[in-house]
Amino acid sequence: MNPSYLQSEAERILTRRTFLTRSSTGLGAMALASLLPAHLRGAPATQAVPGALKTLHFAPKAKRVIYLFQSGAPSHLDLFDPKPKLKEMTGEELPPSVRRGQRITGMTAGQSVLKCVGSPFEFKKYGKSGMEITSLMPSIGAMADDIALIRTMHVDAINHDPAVTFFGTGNQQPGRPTMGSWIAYGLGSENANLPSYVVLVSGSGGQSLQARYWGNGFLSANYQGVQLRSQGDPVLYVSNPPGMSGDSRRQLLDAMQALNRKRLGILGDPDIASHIESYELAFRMQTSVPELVDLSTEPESVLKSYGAQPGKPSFANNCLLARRLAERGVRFIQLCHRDWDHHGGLPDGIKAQTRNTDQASGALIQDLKARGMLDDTLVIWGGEFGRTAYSQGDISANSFGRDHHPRCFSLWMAGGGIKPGQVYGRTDDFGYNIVENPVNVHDLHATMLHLLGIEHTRFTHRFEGRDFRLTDIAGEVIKGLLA
Amino acid sequence: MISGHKANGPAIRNCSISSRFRDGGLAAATPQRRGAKAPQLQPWGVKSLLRLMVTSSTYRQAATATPEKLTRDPYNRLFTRGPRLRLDAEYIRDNALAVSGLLNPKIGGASVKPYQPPGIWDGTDSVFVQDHGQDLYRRGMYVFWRRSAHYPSFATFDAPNREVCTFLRQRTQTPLQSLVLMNDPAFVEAARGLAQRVLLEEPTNLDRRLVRAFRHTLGRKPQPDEVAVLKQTHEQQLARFQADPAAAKALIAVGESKAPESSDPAALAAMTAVANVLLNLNETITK
Repeated sequence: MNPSYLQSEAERILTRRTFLTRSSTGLGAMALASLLPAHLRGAPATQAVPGALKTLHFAPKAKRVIYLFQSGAPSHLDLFDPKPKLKEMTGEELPPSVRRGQRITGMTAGQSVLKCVGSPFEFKKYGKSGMEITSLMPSIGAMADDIALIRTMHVDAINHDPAVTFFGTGNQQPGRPTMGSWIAYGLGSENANLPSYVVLVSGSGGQSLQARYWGNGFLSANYQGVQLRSQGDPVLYVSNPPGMSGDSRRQLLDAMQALNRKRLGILGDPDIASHIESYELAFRMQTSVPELVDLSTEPESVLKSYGAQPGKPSFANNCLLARRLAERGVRFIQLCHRDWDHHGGLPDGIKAQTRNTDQASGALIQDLKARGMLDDTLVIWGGEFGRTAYSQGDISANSFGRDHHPRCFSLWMAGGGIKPGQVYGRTDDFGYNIVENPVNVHDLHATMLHLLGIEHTRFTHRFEGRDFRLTDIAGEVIKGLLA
Repeated sequence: MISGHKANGPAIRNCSISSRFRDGGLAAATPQRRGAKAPQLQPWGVKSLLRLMVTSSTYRQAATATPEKLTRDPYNRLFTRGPRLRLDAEYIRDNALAVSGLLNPKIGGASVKPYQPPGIWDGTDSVFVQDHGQDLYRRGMYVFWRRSAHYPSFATFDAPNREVCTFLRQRTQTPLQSLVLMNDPAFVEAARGLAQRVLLEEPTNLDRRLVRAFRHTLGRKPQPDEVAVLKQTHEQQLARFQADPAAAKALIAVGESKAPESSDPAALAAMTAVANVLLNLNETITK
């Protein structure tokens, strides 16, 4: 046996690993996960993936992500974070001790008084866990024991675009790859006939959506989010022109490929080989995409559970499509639902938006669970920030508004290795600042990557002389969220 | 020395200007031979520099890549073969318009909004109002640029979104690009334009018509087997469109330019299909 002073740090850790893995208690594995750097972890460390990572850093819990992005920033105070004291104080000035002089937006900075406004909606305890969320979301509530509700998300940006960009890319300035691109790049595709990063948009009004919210930044355009559209071609130009049948297209493709192959034979340029391959994939997409988006093949009971109606674009249709995409091995499925930016008329706005999103969000979790897919599918639901405890503008008998609030807000996750039925983090009595367990965007990214089997600090891409990460130079895996 | 640098004209050595510029650049890939004479350049003479480069034996090499070259110089950093690069997004469209005879060469003026599928601007605060007439066929550099929702075919062919500084465009190959070239109405209309053009130039002789279409698109004479492929395709498609006149009419109605009244729909549609093949070739979109 080597004297301890001759052992390297790694060897010592390995010895400890041996001990821990041999112990028959679950504690061994638990402790291991927290003690060891990822590359020394005992899990089967060499799971191959067809992406740039080649092998995962450790065994994954999730194979794919469905991100239900709620654009415009839903109010945590009216949906997920009950504040009885705030409600009691409705109409009174927000105590300066709560705000502590923190920056607020120009939209309310000029108000002579910032008046507290509680939620007009009842909160209800759901599930065995007794998770308290709004009574406006009974379907999500019904899945309370399957979700982990984070009440202490926070973000640096105070305005929509930088916050969405930050959530998407880990940086407020545009130009970096979005998380879906990172994941498509790292993990590669599980389905040769579909892109590995797909985006679905629903809703209208409110904040605009930029194509770069699913952009590939400095990664190859192969990892760009491909938008599935609800009008016209579901994927741009996937349909043959009028008058051209699929058989005709195949004949033309055969001619193209014969001419391309001849050039390949002469020039030997590998680009020609990949050109040929791209066209074959495009041709297969001409079949796989229409089949994918055809919701009429779903049983009536499924359509009903989501509230989906074939041919009528909606968040519900997109949730059902998300499940179909997940079934087909798409790695990152991003829904963007617009119009949560309730600066005024919040009560009506919230009611409308919960009507549009609750049933399908809950149905998606239920459906994934029933199909045994929730275990390896991570679902994330949330906006880019929260909303203020004080009213923007006057509080009338049945209306008020809330301004942007980045200091704390709620987001929930389900499946994919998340410890369900829990509320993570605590905010103050006004839902204004975080009291314990803050989670920033980098932490969320690090945790998401962790669940996918990726150690976020080791997942880099060199560009312009620097290694970039989704988590930039920050991020901690939130252990409390892991099952 | 790897062959290919000989012949006439000076040889150019690797000067790497790439996205790794800030990395300190790449080490000179072709070390200077002892005693080799560096070409003399006028200070800041950009024109003479460009002339030197494009007339060099290095630049004018064939793009042929042998297995040996691919092994020893996979990224052509040693300039063992001529450059072979996919055209940039705007040029792919410009090229198709030029070949088809539809191109409007007007210089300057306001940006134009050619066809795009419905809903592209839906996520934005603006409403897309498409242009008509000659504005549909202007060069890509005049296409209206909305950063939040780009002109789809340009975005698909790696045109940057102009939100951040980009000093080297990516060149990727994706199936979405294939879908654009096969099915985007702009390219289907360009195929029909090319078909009309060669039907006018060679109204009676099919072989010569196919050769013309090939030469217009690729700038070289086709080999006999290449003509044979086109001829077979033409035959297949002509039979289809003769059997289905409605399909022929539908295909030649793509785009706002009108097919000549006098044209035989099946003949024009069949030639349009052949032109669609030509516009989709790797060689067509590659310099």
